[in-house]
Amino acid sequence: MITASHLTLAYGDRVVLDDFSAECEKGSITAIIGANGCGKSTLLAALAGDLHQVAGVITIDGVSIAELKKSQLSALRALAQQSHHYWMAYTTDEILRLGHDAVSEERFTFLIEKLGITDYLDQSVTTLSGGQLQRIEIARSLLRQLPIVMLDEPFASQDLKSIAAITELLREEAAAGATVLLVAHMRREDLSWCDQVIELGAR
Amino acid sequence: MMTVKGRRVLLLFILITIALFSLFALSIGSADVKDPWKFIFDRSLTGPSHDIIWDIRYPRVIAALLVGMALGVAGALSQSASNNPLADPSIIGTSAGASLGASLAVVLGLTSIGTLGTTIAATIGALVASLVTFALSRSVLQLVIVGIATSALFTAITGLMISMADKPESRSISFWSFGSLALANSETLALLTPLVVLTSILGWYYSQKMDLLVLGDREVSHLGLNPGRMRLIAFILISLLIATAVSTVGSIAFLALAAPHITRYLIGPSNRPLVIGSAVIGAGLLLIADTAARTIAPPIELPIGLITSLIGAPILILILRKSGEVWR
Repeated sequence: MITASHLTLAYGDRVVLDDFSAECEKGSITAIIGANGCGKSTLLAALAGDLHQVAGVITIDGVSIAELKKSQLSALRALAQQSHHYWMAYTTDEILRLGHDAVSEERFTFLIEKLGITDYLDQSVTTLSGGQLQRIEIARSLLRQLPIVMLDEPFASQDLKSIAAITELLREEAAAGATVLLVAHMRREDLSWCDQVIELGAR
Repeated sequence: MMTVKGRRVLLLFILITIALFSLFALSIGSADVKDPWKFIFDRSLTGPSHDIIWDIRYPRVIAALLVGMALGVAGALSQSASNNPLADPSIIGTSAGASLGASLAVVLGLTSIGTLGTTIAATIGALVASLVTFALSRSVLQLVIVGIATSALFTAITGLMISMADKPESRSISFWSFGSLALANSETLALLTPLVVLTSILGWYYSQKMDLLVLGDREVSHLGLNPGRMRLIAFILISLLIATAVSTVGSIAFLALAAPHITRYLIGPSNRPLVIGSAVIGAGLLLIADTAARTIAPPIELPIGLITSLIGAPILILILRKSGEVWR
């Protein structure tokens, strides 16, 4: 379980999130929604341990993430970033396998098929569309089967078929025990498949 | 991308070409050597022809191969470490730092050119300059801009020092600005060979881990690794390679940028093959450039930095045009 208690986040002097509290149960899917600039991605970054909070505590299974080492955190959570630009012409296959030596071939094949990556597995990542790159990010975040999966706007550049595939995949991961957190630019009613929807107020 | 077998065949082909060209380079030069092939294939023969080929040309050919290798490996490592296809050691300030370090040591009378002392001073200078660039830049784009500024600053300080130094010292320092292999001898090789070979092997070994940097710092740190530390190790290796090259033969432009790009075009961006390929391409290009520099207009020696640009630049432009809209 992930908990955030009385969290305040800021960029310099600008407070992005003030006195925020929430809980995400193990095996649940939580969506964070809200207007542009309301702090969704900032919140996700804080929960991932990438940002130091001004005030408040974030815990994973009762342990404050501030007390966890980088290596301990890396075994607990994976994060799919919104987009990543590649300068070097690695193939999709090479990018997916980087840092994932321990991942089984079975898991690898399952994910690339599910996310429709098979067709461009041998293609250079410098030639891919935003949606294709994003699916690589999503696959990378799921390959290691970690207890917590975080996704920053996983649907942003996806077509309807991909959105359906990603949704189904995330539900399967949650059913298998993963705690899923995602930031989405969607209406609350389109997220009925999530267990919890947190709406952040725009500032 | 090319298969492993394809890469090996290509590498073997290039290596054989370089070996043949090395023999050719031994056979030509400004001095008129009668029957050079006889002396190349029979080292036991004595006389002035033997001395010219084995005491003058041979160290120069080997030095060209080693320095080219050092520049190629340093270029591959710096582009990978900074995840930036423009990050050549002369752009990120490493070369300027090495020149300043070496010049300072010579001007202060601590050491003379071609000695281990100069290499150590150049390494310190190279490391300081690359770390200044690295510490002050917040993005891949900034890295280039800050690097150019650092380079300019270190070059200016070196220039001022040369202007203010006594004449003999300034003459010995000014050879760094264009680079020359004319001073290469067996002592140079004794220093160059172990440093370049060992550092290149370490670079090759470490480069596999550096493939991860293409994922971006955030993802690398999510995998439990420290991208800053990975970059620091890479910059130490790059500084050693560049300092060794600069302190023995001076600054040689463009090669460290061109060699990895040419290699990536041929075999792809994966770091370990890239490092090996860049070493081989760098060695080959510098040997061709140096042979051209000393034989085009004998007895005048053309500045080698100009020849590396003349050969490397068109190849690089051609490759970038052929590879389409992407950086390879």
